[in-house]
Amino acid sequence: MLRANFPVVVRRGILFSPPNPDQGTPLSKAEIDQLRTDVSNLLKDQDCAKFMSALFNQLSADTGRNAYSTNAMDVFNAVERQGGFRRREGPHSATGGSTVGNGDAVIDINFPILSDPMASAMNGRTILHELVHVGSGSSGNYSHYEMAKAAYEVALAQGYKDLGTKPSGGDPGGVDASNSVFFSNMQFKACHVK
Amino acid sequence: MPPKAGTDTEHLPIVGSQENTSGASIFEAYDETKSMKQAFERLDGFALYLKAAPSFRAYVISYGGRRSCLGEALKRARFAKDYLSKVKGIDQKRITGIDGGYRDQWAVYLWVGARGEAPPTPMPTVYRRDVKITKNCASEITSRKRQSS
Repeated sequence: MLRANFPVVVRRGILFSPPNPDQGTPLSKAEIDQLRTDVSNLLKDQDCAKFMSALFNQLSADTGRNAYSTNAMDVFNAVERQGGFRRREGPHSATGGSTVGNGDAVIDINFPILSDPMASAMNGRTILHELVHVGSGSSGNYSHYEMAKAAYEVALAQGYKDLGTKPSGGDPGGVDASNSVFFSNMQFKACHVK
Repeated sequence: MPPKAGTDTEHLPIVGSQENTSGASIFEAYDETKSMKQAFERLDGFALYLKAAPSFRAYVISYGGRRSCLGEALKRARFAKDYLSKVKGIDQKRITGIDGGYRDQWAVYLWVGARGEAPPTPMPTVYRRDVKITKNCASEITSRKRQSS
């Protein structure tokens, strides 16, 4: 199968992956509604809502790039209005492109949408993860390194224990699975099925 | 230097990308604060998800606690892997058990990742030197198994 290979282009001084029109099918309204339910159910838990709100504030302070909002649902709704949510087959569970600040934020998913409570919670966390990536109100997105560092600070300030060592050593860029996993561990402490 | 995890981890290649990907995700976890019923609810939900996502891989990262038994983390990982494959019918080739090292209390984390995603890296928080090895856990692990059947 011939697959278009879109280059990474420099846009307003940052690395930016443009949405690929040859990949990704828009999710149905029912699917988007389920993802919205997945995220909002997590945020109904005050621990999770408090953690996510503080995370956006911490990222704004750390990076100098203000978050579009400290409410993840605002970011969700902005993505829906902009590039939207799409299903895109590929090697990754989910991918975020651009930022809300750019006006064309998009989130592609490659996982099953299920209403089972635990699956719903995991899918909600995955969408929250991508909403943070694209949730900047300016043109530069938030990297895994920035997210991991901010999540550590927030978890520490909110009294979570057994956090391990704060990420350090600079931003390696790219996929950066290590800091992605670190972020997931911090986020899970606040956002999980109780 | 942060504490090190065990060494018996199967590694998959890391696929490069310039996009912001989610990476492997925590499906759920259980630890000593959870009942046996809650632990099996999590394993059952994990199996359901893996059946709905046949191309995804499962990772069971098991941590020992500050008071641990010899080989406890691996035994818990093996137990979860056996339950998922033998009881719930998930192909055991899709499941990787990982000795994660030690945390404040024992815990089992159930991770899932798409085929191109790197396996999750264990995040131990306690040094081996700070762990007290108390006894062999075989009977405790198998008693949990018996009660599940």
